[in-house]
Amino acid sequence: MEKITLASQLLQYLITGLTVGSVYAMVAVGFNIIYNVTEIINFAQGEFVMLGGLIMVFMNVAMGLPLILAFPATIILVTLVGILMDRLAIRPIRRPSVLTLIIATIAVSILIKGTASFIWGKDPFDLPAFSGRNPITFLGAVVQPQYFWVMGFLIVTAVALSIFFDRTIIGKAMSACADNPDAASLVGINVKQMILLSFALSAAIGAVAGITVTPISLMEYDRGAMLAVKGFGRRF
Amino acid sequence: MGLLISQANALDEAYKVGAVFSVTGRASFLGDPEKKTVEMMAEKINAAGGINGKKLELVIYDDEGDATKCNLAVKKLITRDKVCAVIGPSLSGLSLAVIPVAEQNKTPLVSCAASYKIVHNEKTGKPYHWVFKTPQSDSMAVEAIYTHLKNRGITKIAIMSVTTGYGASGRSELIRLAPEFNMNIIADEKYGPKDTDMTAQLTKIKGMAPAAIVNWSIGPTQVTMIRNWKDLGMTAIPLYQSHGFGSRKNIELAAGAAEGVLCPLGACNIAELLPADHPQKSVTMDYLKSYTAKYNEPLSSFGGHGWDALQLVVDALSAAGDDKAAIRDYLEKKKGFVGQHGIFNFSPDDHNGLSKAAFSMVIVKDNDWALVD
Repeated sequence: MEKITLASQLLQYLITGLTVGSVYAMVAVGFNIIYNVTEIINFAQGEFVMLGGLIMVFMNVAMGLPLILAFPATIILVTLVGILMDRLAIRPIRRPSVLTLIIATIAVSILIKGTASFIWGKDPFDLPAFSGRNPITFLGAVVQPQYFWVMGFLIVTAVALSIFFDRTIIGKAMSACADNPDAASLVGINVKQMILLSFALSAAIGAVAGITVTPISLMEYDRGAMLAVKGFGRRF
Repeated sequence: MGLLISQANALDEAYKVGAVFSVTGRASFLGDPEKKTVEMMAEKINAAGGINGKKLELVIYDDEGDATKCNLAVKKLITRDKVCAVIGPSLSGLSLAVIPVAEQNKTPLVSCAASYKIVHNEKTGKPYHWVFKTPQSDSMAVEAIYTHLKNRGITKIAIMSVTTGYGASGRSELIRLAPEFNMNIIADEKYGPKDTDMTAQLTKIKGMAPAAIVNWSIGPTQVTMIRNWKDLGMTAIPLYQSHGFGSRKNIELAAGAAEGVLCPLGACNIAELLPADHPQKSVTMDYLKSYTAKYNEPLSSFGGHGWDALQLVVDALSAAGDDKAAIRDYLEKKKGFVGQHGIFNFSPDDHNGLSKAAFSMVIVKDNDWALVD
């Protein structure tokens, strides 16, 4: 077999770096939203990604729904989990300090992981790639088409979110909550609703990350923690 | 009155064997099929009249993959349940932790874990007196792979391993045995158990142009790296997986990329492929049929280790009764035991009884296994 040139190798490392990095960048986006509004680190963020992947497997493979229906259905379900998390684990805390809330998110992540292992077991699951599995080659380097979906969704999400936070009233309201929740509520911002919205958004984005990544590297019940840790590292 | 007394006597007429498996927890993929297998076997044996007329009573505990719980379970089995032998644990670390308990209480222990250290006391260089194990050591899997490579005339290889205990152990065996088979390891790449992509490691290997790649991992990474191997157009370089690859599910998950991948497997994984005159054919086919019929799930390679352990103890009870020392002596002298994972030949120096012959080389062909010589 032909030896590959150093240039091709370097190009491959670059491309692989970009593609794998975009996976974790998507996870990081989810962290950012909740942090922007509440100043807490949501340790259950990785679990949203995992749920996105596994629920999509259930919809697409077990229930046979076509991609175009299963995708939004999965996002809605994971968003619901995010909303439940806020309502049941975050909102009820009487005297919320950042530390207490972070511990609450850790508890939720353990709960979600346990439930997932109960429902899906410990095996990895696969999803069909959105546009097939024939790798695309150029200049001696190779990339799976699915990675373009990941990068595409990442760019769309990043652009949409920056417009949302900078140019819309709700987005600005959410940023205000992070700066000073008391002042924010004084000017009529419903802080609790903004927090709810941040969890819902983060869950939805986490789900998108999970759905787009599973065709590449499979998904199993305990993938969340590592994705979260590496995604968290990419916040900075 | 007479009925009561005879009933009380009937209760004493049972052989009690203890088992500790990691039925739940991180190693449930080991302990769950092991438990199911031994329960199935005990049911069958008792339905056929027991062992020399006596019932086989299994006492099974779940150590949940925890060393402390395992230790307590073994102690309980020996002191409170008064079993004549213990089978399990499922994990190497836990097995090593309970060896002192077995030795102190002079009770035979037949472990279902793989580390060769379980049957090799580093200080004396000999096996522990009361401890045996049924799984093949990973050194044997490595020998099987290296023998195959040597017969193909390959010497320049690249190795990849996952950074868990399993991967690290396989890697050290690959490195240790390389000189013996004239293997030149030109690349030694590693990856984490939750990594999503091995393209970088494989690109580096591609640049060094080895004649074969040996990958040592278990879990989703062993499937992901096959996909990467195919995507990078490296299928001209033969890929050997470890014996952890032995499940049809892995072929399915690789989504067509596994065609041509080789791995060493114990006979029970390929029961249907064995020729009719293979000595393990009937024992493995029987196990395959009973297990899949009873539990409606595919056969597990690890359940086979449980089968081997219990059957050895049953044979010992049948021949020597439930005196612990008699069972131990019987096991140590046992030759030609036809098990799920090989034909065992025990001796005072070898409490595992297997060699690389316990592995058959198998290739993925048309999305299923095929024997390769």
